[in-house]
Order: sequence, then structure tokens, then C-alpha cells
Amino acid sequence: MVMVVMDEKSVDAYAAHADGLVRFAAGLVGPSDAQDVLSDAMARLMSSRVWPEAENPKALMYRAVLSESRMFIRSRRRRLSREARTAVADAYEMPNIAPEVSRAVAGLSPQQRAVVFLTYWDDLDSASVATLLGVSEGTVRKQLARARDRLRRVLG
Amino acid sequence: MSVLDDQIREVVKTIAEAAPNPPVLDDDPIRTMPSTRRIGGPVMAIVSFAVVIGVFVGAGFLFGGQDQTPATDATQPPSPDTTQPSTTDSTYPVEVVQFAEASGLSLAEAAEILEGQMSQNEGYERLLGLVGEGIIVEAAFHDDYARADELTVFVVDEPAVALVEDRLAEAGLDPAKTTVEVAPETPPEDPFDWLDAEPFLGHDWLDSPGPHIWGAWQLVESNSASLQVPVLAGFGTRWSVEACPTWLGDLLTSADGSVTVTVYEDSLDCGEATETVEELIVDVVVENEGDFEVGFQNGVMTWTGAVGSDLAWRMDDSINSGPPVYPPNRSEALDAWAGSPAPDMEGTWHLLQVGPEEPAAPVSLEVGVSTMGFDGLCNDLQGLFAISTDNQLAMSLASTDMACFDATGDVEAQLDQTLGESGYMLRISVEDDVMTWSSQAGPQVVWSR
Repeated sequence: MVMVVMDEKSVDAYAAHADGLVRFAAGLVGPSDAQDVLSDAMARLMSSRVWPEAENPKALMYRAVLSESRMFIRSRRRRLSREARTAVADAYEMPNIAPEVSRAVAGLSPQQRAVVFLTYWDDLDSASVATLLGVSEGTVRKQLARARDRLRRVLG
Repeated sequence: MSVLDDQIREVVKTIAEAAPNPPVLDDDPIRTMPSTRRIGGPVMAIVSFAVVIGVFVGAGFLFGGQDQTPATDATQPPSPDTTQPSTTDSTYPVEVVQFAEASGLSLAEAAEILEGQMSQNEGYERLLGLVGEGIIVEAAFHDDYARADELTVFVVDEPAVALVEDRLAEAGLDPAKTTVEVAPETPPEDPFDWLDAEPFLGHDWLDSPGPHIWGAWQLVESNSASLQVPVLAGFGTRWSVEACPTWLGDLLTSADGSVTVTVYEDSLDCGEATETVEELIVDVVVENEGDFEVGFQNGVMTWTGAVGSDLAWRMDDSINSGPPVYPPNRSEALDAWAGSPAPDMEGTWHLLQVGPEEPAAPVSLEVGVSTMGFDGLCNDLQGLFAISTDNQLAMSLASTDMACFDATGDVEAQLDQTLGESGYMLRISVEDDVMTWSSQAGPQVVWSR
């Protein structure tokens, strides 16, 4: 285990957004792995040299969680593929959600999950999501449209 | 608000409400963020080492940074006795006194922690050489700094146990405090771990000052000699917010014996990456004369070298033209899936090359396997663009990042309009096999092998 320095600024920033970040992580990788992903993301971020000069710490933290989630999901897919030797999608742990819906969510890319989560949980508009994730507003709209299209197949 | 929106909102709400509490910082003067990352091969060893270094640098102890924010260092849970430090105690080095002041620990506690950190720091340095030989699968020091010099190492096989034990002892690590075991037989879970396996053993990481990296990276290697074995090349920044693990590479040997390696990776949002640039080349490359060209956006950085660690980063031709940049935004262009029945697809896929005949603009491509009625699997093999000046290899990418075992569904390629309207070709390898998948125009994709 690696421990990472957190100065007071980091502590304050983390405290201000920890609840939102862990929910965001849960939306990306599932509740059971959310803590680990968040920890690793923050460890990576707060050890970086860009962190002390961050103009928008909240955005950096959300992007760090998204980045960490990407790596986590890839790793999990490979592991599951090898273990199961079967074509399974990302085993996204989804309590109280129908299996077909879980699979549909698992089929979303991390970016799509991020956009869906920020849109439907945090009630952010496309511009705000774009700012937070550091992408264009058009990208957000397209990601959201594609995600909705996929989810419609099982929810609609 | 549509019914679908309501349904999605309900699903998201269920997920969000199932989220655990966020990781809690220790409620004491030492605030730490635990990470689950461990050493897992050369890269991770470097990263972990960097973290350890970062502890010291961040605290300003090694460099005596008077103007740095007092760090609240990273260590084990503190002892209940948090006696206020005495800054007048001259029996302790100044760094210990500073640390004690910043953390609220007693001088004795601060000294113990710093000593443990330094011990680990030195230990990591000693470990790096062994990791580089590819015989260590994983290693970690005890995370309690009171026991910081205790080390557990997992190695590749039984013969490596004795070897590593000897090397650890030679390196000055206390044999009584080291445990060396054969690693459980678990497959690599991280791309970096693959570097510990054939044919990627024995590679070197090379450092050199990096330029300001902004945009998408592309590494193109050309070699006068014909290479018949896979090549892996990579580069990335040592330590940034995204870590910029832009390292993937693969082999493409053309009929004339030249080799082109093009690297592309989708985590390219390295706009803040001003740290050193590292290049990773396997032996098979460095044993041959070779030129390496690294390009990003429409600029080109040339990186040349002949042998091993003499490879040098040359920035003479470095151009970062700035906007208009072509971000690897796969969602901007993808609009259609073209499917084709897949033959036996078991194995790991490598998308080797994609090239439109008349490159005109950045294009996107995504390849995946549909096995569950939707595009849910393996669709993270995504790559885009690249504009060449000679129109010979306008778009290409390589990836080892997609494992599609037992994929019996359709093979699908998702192409953007720009590419779809042009002629193009794809080359995909499945393990040792090579399949050619081509189309002349539009979304029609023909699979052949």
C-alpha cells in the first residue's frame, strides 16, 4: 500500500467533494470498488505536480476518478475474460437492478457512464459536465445520446 | 422529461445510493490517502518509487523547502501519544524538527517515520534493478513505517527465489526481514504487467527531458532491418495527473522489410504533462539500428538512437503547433457500426493498422465484438486519426488492450463518416494469426483471412 501526502489544501478539497466523488466512482465501477478507485485516483492526483497548481481542483478530482476507472475497468475485463473464458461484459455490480439493465450499464464506456451519472444524479447540464470532464459540450451531448440509445434497448 | 429519462434517473439513483462512504482520512495530524496500488512490474516500481520520493519532496525535507506548505506526511497510524514537539531539541536533525512541527508528532515519532521512509526509499532503489530484469512479479515494503524495512517479494519461479534472495542480501537488505516467494499463478491484469512476459523482457526505460505535451501522441518507428518478432515501444510521463500511460506499441513489418510502429493510446489527455518523457523499447529494437519518430498533432519530434540506453530524445524538429488540435475524441465521429460474422475469435486482438487512401482529416475508429446484443464487449479498442505527410500511413494504431475470448458474435467496426466515405483497410491480428479486413467504401466491411 502506498500512502500519499495530503496537505491541508488537499484535505479540504477532498473533504468538500468526497461524497460526490465516491458516488461518481460508484457510477463508473460499481459500489463495491468505488472506494478503491477513489483512493487510487486521489493518491495519483495528489502526488502529481499539477495538483498544487490546480485552478479547478474539483474538475481535476473528477477527471482523476474517471481516469482511474478506465484503468480499473480494463483490468477487470481482462481478468474476467481470462477467468471465465467466456464472453462476459464488465461485471458491474448493480444492487437491486435487473440483470439486463446491469449489463446495459456495463456496456457503456466509462466516459458514457460518467456523463450519464453527472447528468442524471448531479443534474448538471451539458456545459457543466463538459467543464468538469474537460471535454467539449458536443462530446457530452453525443456521449449522452449514445448512452441513452443503449439504455433504451433495455429500459424502453 | 421522458419516461426513459425517468428510468435512467432511477437506475442512477439506485447506484448512487448504494455507494459506500468515501475513504476516510485518518483523524489525526497525519492525513493520508491510502492507495491500493502496489509494485507490479517495472513501471509500477517506478511509480511507487516516485510516490516515496514525493513524500519527501512534498514535505520539503530533502530540499529544505522553507516556502512549501507544511506537509502532513504519509505514514502509519500514529501512536496515541502525540506529544507536542520541542523545536528546541538540537539532538534531532532539522528535518525531523520540521516534520514534527508540521505533523504534531513527537520528535521521536517523527524521527522514526522519517527513518522508515528513507529506508524504504533506499530499498526501492535497490529493487529497481531486480524488477528491470523481469524476475520480480510484485514487491512491497511493509506499510507500517515502524517496520518499513520489511519486504515481501513475489518472483516468477522457484529458481528466481534464490537469485533474488542473494541479490537482496548483496544490495544490503536484511535477509531476516525479506520474504521471497513464487508468485501465485495469476495472469497479468495490467498492461504494464505484460511487460514482464515474453517477448517484452529486458526492456529499458529511458528518461529524457520532455517537451510540453499537448494533444495526441504518435510514435512511429522505422527500421532498416526487418524484424520478425513483436516490438513494443512506449513512452509516457513519469508522474502526472493522468500518468499519461501512452505506451502501447506493436509490430508492423511491411513487405520491403521496413518496420513501422505506431503507438496510440486513448488516455492522451496529457495537457499538463510537462514532466520527463520516458521511452520503453524492447531489446529487439535497441539491438538494431533504428530511427524513431515521435509525432503529435501535426508536429514531429524526432527521437533517434542506435543502441540501448544511448537512445536520446532529440527535439530539434519538435513542433507543437497548438490549435487546431485533434483531440482523440472518439465520440465526435463515430456514427455507424458495420458488422461481419466472426470466425474463431478467441485470443487477444491487435489492431495493427488502419489507413484511408486519402487522409484528409482526423478520423475515428472503434472495433469491437458484439456478443450480448449490444456493443458491450471489447469496444475499448479505439483509435483514431493521424495525419501523415506522405499519405502512406495516414491512420494507424496499435493496441494490446482488448481481450476477446470466446467471442462468437459479430465483429464490428465502427467508423466515422470521413473514413467511411474513403477507401481504407484494416489489419487485425488474433494472436499469431493475421486477418485482413478490408473495404473499399462506405460502411461495408469484409472479413477475410
